[in-house]
Amino acid sequence: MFLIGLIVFYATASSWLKFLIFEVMYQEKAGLNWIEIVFYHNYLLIVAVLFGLLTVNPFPRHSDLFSLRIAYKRSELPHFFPFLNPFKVRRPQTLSLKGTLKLWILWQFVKWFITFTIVISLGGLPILGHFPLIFYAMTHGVGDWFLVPRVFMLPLVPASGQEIISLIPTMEIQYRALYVILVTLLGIVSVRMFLKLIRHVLQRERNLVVRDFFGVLTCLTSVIVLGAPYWSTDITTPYDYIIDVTLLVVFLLSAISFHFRGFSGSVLPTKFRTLSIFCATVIVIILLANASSIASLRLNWNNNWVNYEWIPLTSKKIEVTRWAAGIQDVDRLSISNLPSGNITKILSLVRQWDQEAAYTKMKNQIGVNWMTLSDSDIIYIHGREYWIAPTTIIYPSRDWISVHMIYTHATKMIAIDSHEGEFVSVAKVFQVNQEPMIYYGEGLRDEVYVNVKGFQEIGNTSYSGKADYVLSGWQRVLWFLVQGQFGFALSPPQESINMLYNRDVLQRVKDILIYGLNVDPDVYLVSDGNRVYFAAQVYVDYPLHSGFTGSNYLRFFAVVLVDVEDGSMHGYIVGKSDRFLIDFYKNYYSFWDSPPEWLLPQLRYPEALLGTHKIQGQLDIDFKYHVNDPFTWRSGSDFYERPVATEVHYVLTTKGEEVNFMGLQLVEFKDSPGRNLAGLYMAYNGPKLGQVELYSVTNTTAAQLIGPSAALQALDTDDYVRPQLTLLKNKRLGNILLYSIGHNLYYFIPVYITTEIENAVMTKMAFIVAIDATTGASVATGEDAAQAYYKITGSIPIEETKAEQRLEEIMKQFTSRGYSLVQPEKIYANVEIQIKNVTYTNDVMWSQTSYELNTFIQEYVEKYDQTEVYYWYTDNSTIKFGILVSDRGVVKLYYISILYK
Amino acid sequence: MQREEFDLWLKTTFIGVFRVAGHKFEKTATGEVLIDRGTYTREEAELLFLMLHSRNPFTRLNAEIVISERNGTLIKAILVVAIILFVILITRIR
Repeated sequence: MFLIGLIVFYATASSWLKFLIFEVMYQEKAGLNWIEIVFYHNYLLIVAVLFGLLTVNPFPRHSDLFSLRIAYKRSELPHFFPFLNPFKVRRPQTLSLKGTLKLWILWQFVKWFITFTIVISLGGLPILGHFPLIFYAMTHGVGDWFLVPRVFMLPLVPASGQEIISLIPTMEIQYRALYVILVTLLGIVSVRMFLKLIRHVLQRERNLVVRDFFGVLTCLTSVIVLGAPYWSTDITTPYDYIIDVTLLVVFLLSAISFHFRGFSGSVLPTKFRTLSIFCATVIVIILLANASSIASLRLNWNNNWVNYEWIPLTSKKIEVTRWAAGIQDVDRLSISNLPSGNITKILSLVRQWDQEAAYTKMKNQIGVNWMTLSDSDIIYIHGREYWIAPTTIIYPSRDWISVHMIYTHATKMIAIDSHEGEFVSVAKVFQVNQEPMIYYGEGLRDEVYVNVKGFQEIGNTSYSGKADYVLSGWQRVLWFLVQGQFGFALSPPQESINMLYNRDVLQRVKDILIYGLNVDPDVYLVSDGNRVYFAAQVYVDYPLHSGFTGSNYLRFFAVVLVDVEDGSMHGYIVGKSDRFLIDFYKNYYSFWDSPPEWLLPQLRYPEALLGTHKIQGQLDIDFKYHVNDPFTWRSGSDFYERPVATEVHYVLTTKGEEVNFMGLQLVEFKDSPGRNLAGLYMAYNGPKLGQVELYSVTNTTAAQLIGPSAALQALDTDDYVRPQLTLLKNKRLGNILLYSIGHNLYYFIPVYITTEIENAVMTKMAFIVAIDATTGASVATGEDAAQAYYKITGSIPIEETKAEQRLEEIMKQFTSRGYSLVQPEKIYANVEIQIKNVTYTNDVMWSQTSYELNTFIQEYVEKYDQTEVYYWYTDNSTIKFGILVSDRGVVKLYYISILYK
Repeated sequence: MQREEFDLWLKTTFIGVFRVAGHKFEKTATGEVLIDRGTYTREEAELLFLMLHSRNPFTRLNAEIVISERNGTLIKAILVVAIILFVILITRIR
């Protein structure tokens, strides 16, 4: 007994301590009251207490279960089934718990506690789902009580699509609250009636058996009738509803009549029997009339399909589902309207490196055995797109000290330009002073203890931020006892120990979200130029109960930034007001702001919200529910599907001179043998976040376009590409991307080769294939997208800026700072050191070139106090700038090489 | 004619089965009458005989209901019909 008490105390105390840690941590690092957030400002507790009370028997000292047990013992059954009654009865039997008040109270408490625990742990009850949020929202202005009668009448008086949309907040909040309470009550009553029914069967109380039987049926039918407003309604539904209500009345009257009277046994006609016959006749007439109406409508279904199903059901379902999925504002355009931008610019932005290739290439840059790449994410910052992979810890040693005291953080982030595939320093990508240390990241699941005397973190660094929680006193003792670290519990190196807790950024964000909010599992990095943050994208994914919705309520809601170094968090709301859940959640997380200016261009529309092969999202709903024509719907001729080979890819596209960062999803017609392109979705990121456009291949489109699957076939079967592919070992085809260039559509598919040398994996882009999407017949390869494009079109690149102008720009970098440029006849040095090799063949590359030139000037020309800079040409397209420095008799030439045409 | 036969059957000790409008009348050793396995007094049986032969269809229906009520057929029928209706109702729910 003592041991059990100790275990209970221990479990309670450690749970309480964890709650305390969460409370303090989120207060300090996110400025929010965690307990208030996750317990719905105590609504969860109140709801759990009240729902638990519903299970308590309202009559003191009465218990249906105990009465059944006693009735069973008194019946003849124990003689037939002795194994069901293994305990001998020692006391006289009673039909109630009279005289055993304590036992009754204990039993009621047990039932209450079980229900309370279920509601607290599940946030609701099985089948009925989650409901504390409903009660909280109900008292905070969501929905309207005056609309409840209208909701109740929906099966009899169907609403238009727009009216259903306007009623959904009330259906999900006020009516749902009523539904949950009444269904729970009816469930409890039907269980009690069922127990009574068995008891009365054992006691051979015929009338009471029938009463209980009809009581159970009444409860169950009531549940069905209460759920009727959630039905999707076609032309037959009002008749169905009348049948259901009639049966409910029949079952209820039968239960009442058998309760008060039952079979009298009188031979003479009685008023009751006459009334019963009359009622039965009326009921049969009602049931038959409605059933025959349904049968008649069903027989004529196909010849009246538009009026019977399309208008009352399908068209409304499309309208409501589009609203629910948040795709009602998707712009529908013909693929011929797909914007084409500046050719040179778009060719310099084609995403030639896909995630897997970038990830493989980055792996080699880690350099130590205790770090690995956590994930490779696409980001868009300062006008360029990068693959960036933060590292996480891979423990060479899993002992407690290593995990919790030494390997406290990762130190590297690796970035690759998504077009060029070249490594770029993280400091340059984010324009921060130094690469941040990663104390909070992906996969960092173990808590760590920092600033502990006698222990050194890896890399000889020491955490300088604020701890998530400081363990001291009895809390430290309890915490380390749970960890099995008796030394730290009883004789620690210091009284207070700083702990970093819940460091996995995804989990850290999930733990502050309430029901209906979800996080895109793909977190990515952003920066304000001072700090680097993980951005977790939070979206609304709330199940709606109306049969008219084919989708959950889906909306992008917020972005939560987690500082990679100190774990501080801040949310920014991006969702637009909807007078429903977005407004509710905005009110709930009222301490979150609008996103700052610096963040907007870096924001991405969540991939999980758009949809992937594994997670159904908004686009998956649109694949079907974009159809508005009844016969197109019925024939299924315009439904889309996501091709196996593609998902949402974040790419850069151009519209004139404007560069846009967007999510691109190609779609094919569902089950199409020709694998034609049906359309492409473009989801804007950055300032136009949330704007989605569908460019569809319509009947009026002049030519049919091949889809991504057909593009792969075109690549595989091309006479030139096929032999090249067979020559490559360990080849892999990259992402299939579609670009609109010069008002034509081209697929670009990079081909990578991967080689493994002594466990080091190297990946390289062998070539890139361009495929004309109009026919699939024209296929060309090139070292890069531009070369492949010019080869396929047979055109000559048009330079938008003359090479001479670019050369002038380069030279200005030196002359504007007062340096003289000298072109020597010849230049000699003992040692020649190339500092950088830069390509500046179009305007887009200027920012990179300018940065490299500035770095060269600061780190060499200024450092060695030079006034003259030499330049010379090695061929007609490359210029080099250098300085001569004498170092202890050795003349060194430091130079930078620039390819400018 | 049948009324006289019935009275004769009821008053004598003849223990054979008497059939009225499809129902089986039997006498028990205790002097009661079994109608379709339901027990009745002689008076009730007589009354039922008259009801079964009434010209009023409601009276005849009443007699049928009394017989099926007393022998348990009615209750079984009600329960079976209720279950069937409930199953149909469940299957019709969308």
